[in-house]
Amino acid sequence: MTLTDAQIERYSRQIIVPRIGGLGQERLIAARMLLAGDARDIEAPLAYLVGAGVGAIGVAVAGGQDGFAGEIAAAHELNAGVSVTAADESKGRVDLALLIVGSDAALEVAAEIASYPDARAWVVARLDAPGIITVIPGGSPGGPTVDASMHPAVGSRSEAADFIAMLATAEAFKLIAGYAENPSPSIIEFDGYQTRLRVNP
Amino acid sequence: MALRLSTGARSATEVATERILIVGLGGLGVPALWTLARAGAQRKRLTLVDPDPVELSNLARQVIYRSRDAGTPKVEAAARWLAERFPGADVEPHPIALDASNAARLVAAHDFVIDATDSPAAKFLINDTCIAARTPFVYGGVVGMTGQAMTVIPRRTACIRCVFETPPDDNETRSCREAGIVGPVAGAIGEMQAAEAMRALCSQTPFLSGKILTYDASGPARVRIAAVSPRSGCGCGAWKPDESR
Repeated sequence: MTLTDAQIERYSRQIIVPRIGGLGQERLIAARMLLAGDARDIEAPLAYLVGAGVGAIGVAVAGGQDGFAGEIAAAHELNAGVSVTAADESKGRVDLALLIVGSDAALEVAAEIASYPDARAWVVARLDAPGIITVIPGGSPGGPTVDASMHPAVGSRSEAADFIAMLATAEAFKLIAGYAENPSPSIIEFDGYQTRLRVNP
Repeated sequence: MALRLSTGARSATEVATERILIVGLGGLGVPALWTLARAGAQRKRLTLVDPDPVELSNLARQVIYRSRDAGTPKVEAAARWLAERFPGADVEPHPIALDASNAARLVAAHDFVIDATDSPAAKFLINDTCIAARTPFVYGGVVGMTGQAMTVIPRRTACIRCVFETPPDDNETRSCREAGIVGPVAGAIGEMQAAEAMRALCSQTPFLSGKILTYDASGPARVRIAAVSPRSGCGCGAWKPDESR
């Protein structure tokens, strides 16, 4: 695909970031992803992914889609070039699933998505203290598993929960854009707001 | 008006009419505004200052604006968005630049300032004005895949001049226009800035007072928080001679 002049203008500030470029933007626009979690936790990540131009986003909202119609409408208003639908309408290949787990209800939805066979890469954020982000790039042998990120039950919310959700969104953005040439599976553990990284755990 | 940080913490729902000044309604100011609004905009008086209109190239990361807002001053588009999404919000838009002629008056009328600008000169102006008015503020900056935030409690914690001393020359700095910027990276820093404002206004000690947070997303996410000490040669009044021993 070739970016149009309007797309180049719209996404210019992220296109000029080294290692994103036009190719990264094309990957974003061509991408299909899933986003799951509680409405309050995925509202901002959805807006940023839509703003960035991720082509098609299937959304699974803990507790049901009904209360999320306004956010989906707002996403369409933000970027008409992006398709945002309920996750069950997003069949087929998925480039990445971003699961944001901040409650038991979100854990349930995320666990359901985690069994989705056609997702190539995963980012799973646990918002319960101390907070953890599991990054599983596509095609990575071994490493952390999505299933492991679903245990144990959700504890008390980290004070940095919204911050963690945004960092997970950035990790998803980078994977989709192909920002790192050979990204490794990694676990980002939080101590308050600070992080500790385990690569190829 | 200067905020007093007491030891008796109030909950977010008890925050009544504190006045927050957001300078810059771009990549940092937008997530800061959104976070504050979600936390209860009806209980806060928000003043928005930014001279720029919405441009198409803003929409990838300044996610409250719409294509139809292009050409509209950001502060007006933001105020309209806030009124639609959070009815009852008390917001005052100023489509102007913060400068030496208005900074003292604007800062003095607020309890907390969020520096969401992308210009070193503006950041030093906010620093100096807040120090003089004894108004706490949170600094934020983001370029490319990295961001920083730091809260300054005047005369108690290190200020921007304690850390950076003087504004860099124009040719030493790279703005997001030149170096690029990624939405969620700015979103994380702006969210952090709003959280600091809420802590301060709930009479809690802001998490980043006397500390600087650095978020580096150029590899797997890395966040570090380092203590920053007042500098003896800085005139901000935070340095105390006994701290040198």
